[in-house]
Amino acid sequence: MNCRRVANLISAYVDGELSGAEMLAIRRHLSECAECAEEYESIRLVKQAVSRLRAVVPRKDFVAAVASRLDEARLTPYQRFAARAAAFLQGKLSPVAAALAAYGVALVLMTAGGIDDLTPQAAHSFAAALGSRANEVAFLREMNRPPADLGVSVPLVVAGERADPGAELHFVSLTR
Amino acid sequence: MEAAEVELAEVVSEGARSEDRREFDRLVERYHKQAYNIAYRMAGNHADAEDLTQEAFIRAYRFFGQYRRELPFDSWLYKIMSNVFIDTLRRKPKARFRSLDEPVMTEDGEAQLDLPDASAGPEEAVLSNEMDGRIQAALSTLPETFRLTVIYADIEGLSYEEIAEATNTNIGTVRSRLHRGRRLLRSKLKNYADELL
Repeated sequence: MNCRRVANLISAYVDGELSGAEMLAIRRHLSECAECAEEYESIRLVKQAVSRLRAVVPRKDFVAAVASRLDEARLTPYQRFAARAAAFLQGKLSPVAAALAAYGVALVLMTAGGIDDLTPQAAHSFAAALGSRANEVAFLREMNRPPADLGVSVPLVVAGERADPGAELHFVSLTR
Repeated sequence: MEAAEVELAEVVSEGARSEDRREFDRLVERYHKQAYNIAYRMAGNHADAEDLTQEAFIRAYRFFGQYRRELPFDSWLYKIMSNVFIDTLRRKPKARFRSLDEPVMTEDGEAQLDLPDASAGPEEAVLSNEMDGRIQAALSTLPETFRLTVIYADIEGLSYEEIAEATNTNIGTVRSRLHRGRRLLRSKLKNYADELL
C-alpha cells in the first residue's frame, strides 16, 4: 500500500472501520514509514481531543421548557380533534392507522360494511363529526405512508384492516 | 349531533394527551442531556443549543407516530436532529461563533459544564475550559455536515454505519466527511498542538 492510499484511509484506520486486510496493510506501512506514522498520530490526536470534550448540560429547568414548548405546539382544531379521536379508539386500530393516528392528523371512524358502501356511511359519520366538511373527502383502500407524503389535497378516508367482526376501520386524514 | 361531537372530543382529548405525552415526556427526560450536548457542539453556544434541541424534540413529537418502538429511541432521534441541525444552522448567520484568536469566555450562569474530574484542581479546570473552547471554536468552522459527522463519531461514538443511517447518506460519504473534517480540525488547531493535542 502506498503513502497516498494510506493517507486517504488513515481516518478510517483510526476508527477501526476498515477490513481486516486493510487494517493489517496500513499497520505494516506505518511501521515502515515515518511520514505516514506522523500523519496517523496527528489524526488520532484530533479524534482524541474531540472525544475528550466535556459533556455540556442544559439549565436545570430545560425539560420543563421543552414540555412548555410541546404544549404550545398547537395543532389546528381539526387536527387536535382527529388526534384525540384516534387515540380514543387506539385499541381498535390497525398498525397503519395507529401510526397515522399518533401522527396527529387523523380521525378514525368505525363504520360497518365494505368498501363499496363506504362512502355514504363514512360520509354520515364524518358529517356527525365535521358537518359540511364531510363532502371534502377522498377514499383509499389502504394507506402505507403518512398522509403528508401522499400529496393529496383533500382529506382521505382509508378502509383499514378488519378490527372486529362486522366492523371495518376507516381512516380520515385531516391534513388540510 | 353537536352535543355528541363535543362529548366525543372531550372524552378522547384526555386519553390522547395523557398516553402520548406521558411516553414522550419520559423520553425527553431520558435523552435531553445527550441531545443537548450534541446540539451545543453543533451550535457552539447555549442559546442556539436550546433552540436546536427544543426544535428537534418538537419535530420528534409531531412525528412520534412514525417511531417504531422496537428501535432505540436515540437512533430515531439522531435522524431528526440531523435534519433539524443542518437545516437550521445553514439558514443561520454565524455571528455567534467565536474566532480562534478571541479569548475563551467562561460559561454563563444559565448552564454549567460537567466537571471532568473531581480531583482536578482549579488550574486544571481553567486550562481544560480553554482547551474545550479552542476545540469548540475549531469545530464551529467546519461545514455543518462535517461537523455533525465528527460529533457523531468522536463524541457519540457511533459507527460509520450508524452515522450513515442518522445523516441519511452512505458509508463512503461518512468516511470522506470524517477524513476531511479531521484534517480541517487539525489545520485549525495546529497553533495549539502542544497544549491541545
